[in-house]
Order: sequence, then structure tokens, then C-alpha cells
Amino acid sequence: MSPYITMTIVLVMYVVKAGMKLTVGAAVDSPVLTGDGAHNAADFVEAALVLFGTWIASRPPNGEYPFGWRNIEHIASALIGIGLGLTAMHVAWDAVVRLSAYMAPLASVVSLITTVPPRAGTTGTGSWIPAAVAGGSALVSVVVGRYEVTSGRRNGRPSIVADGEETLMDGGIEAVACIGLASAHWFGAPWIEYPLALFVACIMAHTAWEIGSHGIGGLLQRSIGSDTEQHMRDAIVTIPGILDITDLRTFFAGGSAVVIAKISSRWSGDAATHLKEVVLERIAEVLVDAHILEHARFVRFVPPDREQHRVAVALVTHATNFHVASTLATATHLRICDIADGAIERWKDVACPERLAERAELLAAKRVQKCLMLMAVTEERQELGRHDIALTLAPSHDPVHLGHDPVYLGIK
Amino acid sequence: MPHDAPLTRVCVPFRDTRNGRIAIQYAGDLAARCNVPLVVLTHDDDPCDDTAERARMTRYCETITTCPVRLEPAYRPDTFPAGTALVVQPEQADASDAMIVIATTEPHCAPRGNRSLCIPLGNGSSGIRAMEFGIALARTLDTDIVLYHSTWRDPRIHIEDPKAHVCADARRVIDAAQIRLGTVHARCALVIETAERVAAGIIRTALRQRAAAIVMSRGTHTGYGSYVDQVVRESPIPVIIVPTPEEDAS
Repeated sequence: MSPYITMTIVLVMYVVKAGMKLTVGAAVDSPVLTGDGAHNAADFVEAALVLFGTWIASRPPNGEYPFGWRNIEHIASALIGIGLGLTAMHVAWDAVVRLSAYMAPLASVVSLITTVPPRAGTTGTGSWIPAAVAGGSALVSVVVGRYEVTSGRRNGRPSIVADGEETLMDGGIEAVACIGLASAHWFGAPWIEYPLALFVACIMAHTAWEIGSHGIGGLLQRSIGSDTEQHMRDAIVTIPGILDITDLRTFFAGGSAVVIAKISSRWSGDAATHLKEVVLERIAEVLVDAHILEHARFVRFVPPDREQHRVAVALVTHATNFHVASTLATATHLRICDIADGAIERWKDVACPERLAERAELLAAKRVQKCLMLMAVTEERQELGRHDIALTLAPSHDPVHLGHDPVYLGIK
Repeated sequence: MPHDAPLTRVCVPFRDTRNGRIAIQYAGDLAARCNVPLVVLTHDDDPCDDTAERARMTRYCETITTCPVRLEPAYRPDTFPAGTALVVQPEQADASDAMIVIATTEPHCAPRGNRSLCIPLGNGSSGIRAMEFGIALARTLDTDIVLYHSTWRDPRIHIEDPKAHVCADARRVIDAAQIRLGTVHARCALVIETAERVAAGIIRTALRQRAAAIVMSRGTHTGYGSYVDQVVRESPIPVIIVPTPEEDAS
């Protein structure tokens, strides 16, 4: 199902249809057929442009266009959607105007805007050939349209899908024309065509909206879908070592999805490489489940916020023996610890000033956020509170239990 | 206690740090699931004599784990019974420990819903040793087993399937493992590949298979560059290191 073969088949179809309708329409004097033949000639030009766009979209990415040229498909989709919408409006208006010839109240409204045409002939036309040509053309449009849509989806070509949908709509119009011509020829009731044309116009308008909005959404880099993104997040956060997905951006470049993820993890080096490999696999699994077969994934690992802060430990020292003080007043030293990533990165001991207020001021000057000791005395809590320092109960009197390396404490 | 219970007790050092709290949480979760005591190891003997200190430390542990806690003096491996597991941070996983060592940065035994046990097999007895422990642990935790083997590609064999490149010794080990798993009716999968690096293959397979832990045992012939050490260094998944019997180590 090469996209080029598909569009070549479509082009041949339009050449045959246009040629047949124009020839037969002129021979049997059927304005419906000749008009539809001219429409098919315009469709030929559109299909040629889609083929050209497909070729451009196939060009590989380069430094100037790192995501390639695939977005040209969205331009084609948007234009096809707009064109189909205008066609739907034209078909609907034409049907309303012609129907007004059979409905006086409607005619009174339509006549305000345009001239109400005379009713189509009630006697049968001379030939069944126009109905047969229109019916055959409708059948070909449906078959080729379905083939085009399937080929476009398999190859990830939104412009071919859009053109295929438009071909299917053409088939609908041709089927309505066939019914109208047949009812005029066999039943003398050409008006049957007009309500059917209105129905087809509604379907065309809906399809035009879908195609056009998809194309414009692609140009505006709309995300691939909140459901798919949530599945991606759910799949990634179950991986051990992943803290969070800090940023996830997705969009379509043509029929190819682009996923850009920034992931927070404390792991680096080889471990981060392993995690990244599995994250890419999980993203691919989610995209395949969402029937997105073409994709580009970009994952970057960033370390989490270091959560850097300062903590003080009130210590009592006797020669080489250290333990956490019961209260701030009984401490002989204050150990000022720099904490980062939940661990002590650096500590420094300072001798305690005489008075409690001076001790609190010293801690404030060192930008300490909390002070550890074994007991909570109200006066000390209040004094520290004046400097926004929290008094925290230490779970043990042994500094080793608080994370201090025994090597640096001179302890075996 | 069932005779094939994998553990008799779970120990963890007392540390009031982020990683220390994670280790206590993991140890508590494991002890609860295996229905064994949780022992928190203190740096010195004081807590045994100091009632207030013991109360402080016990209270602290109760904020981290719901499992009942027993405090015991510092790490003395000769006093610990067989089946003792020591939960530590990866950088503290000691090569010479005679007990089961669990290196973890995750706070739960089934982190984020991951449940299976990944057991790498080589061409020696270390994989079988790890597998026996893994079987007992998998039955206790009611989880699956994933056997993993990475083989060197034999250039004389022009078959892409990695299974065709497995050496005879490794094939005997894998077959014995599968037979053993069949006799105990354990749910298991087998992954064989030709990984660029063995440690990377083990870790990535464990991540792909959504493993809760990697179970390994040290080989007796490796002089340098043990795969166990490499995996412990690089694995975000907890690694359970099964000790080597003294007669095998000598």
C-alpha cells in the first residue's frame, strides 16, 4: 500500500470519471453529469497536490527541519477540510433552493435571496444512461475512497486519509445524483434527490469539521491526547528509581507522534541509562496501544531539587565522647550541618555562647532551620521560635544514629 | 515457622537520614510480609541499658513502620542466626557479609506494584543458590520468578536466537533450574539474551519484567568485577545478595 501507488490509482480514477461524465453528459444533455464531471476535474488537481505533498513529507529531517517536512500533511488536511466544508454548504444550499420549487413556504424565504428555479421535468428523461453512470461512479468512489483511507492510516499520511474521506463524500453525492436521475427517469419524481442531498451535505459538513480540525490541530501542535499522555505517565512512574515526570509534551509531526519527557530521578550514570532505556520502551508500548505506529521519543533525566538546608545538633562533648545534649542550655557545642538530598554534606562545630538568647542568635546567623536536642523546654522553644527556628526532638543521643559518619567522629 | 521459610529475621541499621528511613521502611515491610521479627541495629550497647534512649528510638521507628521493632546492639554477625537479612543502602552492601544482604533505595517490597523476582543464572552454582532462596521468598510473597541468562554470541553459530548460543555448562544450570521450579510448581518465565553488558542486561530485564527485587549470589571464582557488585551499584531495584557458604568460598 505505497502512498504513491495509492494516489496514482486515485488520479487515474478521477481522469476516467471526469472523462466519462463530461463525454456522456454532453451526449445525453445531462447538466447533472457534466457538472459532476467538472467537479471530478477539480478533484484531480486536489489529488495531484496531495501526491506532491506526500512526496515533500517523505523528505528526511535535516538540521534546518529536525522533525522533517511531515507537517505539510496537516496543511493539506486543513485545506481539504475547508474545501469539503464549502462543498457541503454549496450542496445544501442548492438542495434547499431546488426543493423550494415544491414547497411554497420555503420558496417565499428563498426568493428573498435568489430566484427560485422551475421544477424539474416530471416526465421521464429519455435515457437511463446518466443514472447508470452516476451509480457506477458512486460505487467506484466508495471502493477507492475506502482503499485510500486505509492506505493513508497504514502509512501515517493524514493528507491521504483526508483525501480518501473526501472521495467517500463524493461517492455520497454521486449516489444521490444517481437516485435523483433514476427517480426522474422511472418515476417522474426528481424531487427525491433534494432531501437526500441535504442529508449527504450534513454528513459532509461533519466530515469536513473532523478533517479540518485535525489538520489545524496538527499545525498548532495539539497534544496527541490527554488519555494517551496519562497512560504514559502511569507507565513511567511505576519504574523504580523514577521520582516524577516534571514535563511531558506531545504533538504530531505529520502522522508521526513526538514525545518529549523530562524525568526526575536521583540516579545518574549507568543506572540512569538503564532507566532511560526502559522509559523509552514503555512510551513506545503506550503509543502502539494507541495505534500510533510512527513516533519519535526524547527523554531527559534531571536530578530532583537538592532540598538544601541547615540543621543544628546541640552536643555535649567530654574529651573524645560526643552525644546529643538534653537541652540547648546544657550543650557545649552546636554542630551546624549542611543537609542536601537528605544526607549530611558538611558539618562544623562551634562553641556555644553563654546565654540562651545568644545561642539562638548564633543559630539564626548560620541560617539554621531546626535544632535537634533530646528534650523540649518551653523557654528554649520560644526563644528559637523568635528566629523561626524549629526545636526538634532527636531520636537518639548518639550522633551516629543521626547520620554522622563514625569515622569522622573518631569512633571505631 | 515453616521449615522452608526464607528468612528468620530482618535487621536494619538505625539511621535518621532519608536513605536510612527508607531502609527501615523496607525492612519493616519485608518483615511483616515474611512474618518474622524486625530488629533495628544500634551503633552501640547503650539502648539496651538506657530506657529513655530505647523509648526514643522505638518511638521514632514506629513513625516509619507499623511492624513491631526490637532494638539490638551493633552489628555482630557471629551472633545472628542463619536466615538473617540485613537491609542497607547500596553503598553499604559489604562484599564479605555472611548474611543475606538487601541493598535498596525503595521503601517497599513490591515497589509501585512490581512483584516478580528476577534471578540471573550463570554457568556456576551461584545462580542455583540464589534460585533456592528466590523460590522460598517467592512462595512467601506469592509472586512470580523470572530467570535470566546472558550469553556470549558464538560466531560459529549462524542462528539469531540467543538460546542457540548458550554454552553447555549454562544450559545444564538453566535446565536444572527449570526442573526445580517445575517440581515446586512455581510460576516462572525465562529470558535469554546476548546483552552487551551482563549487569545492564540483568537490570534492564528486571525493569522490563517489573521485578520487585533481583536475587543474586556471589560466584566463587570471580577475582575482580563481580556482577553482584556491578548490579548493586547500578540497580534502582532492590538487590538481594544471598551469602556463599564458607566451604564454597574457600
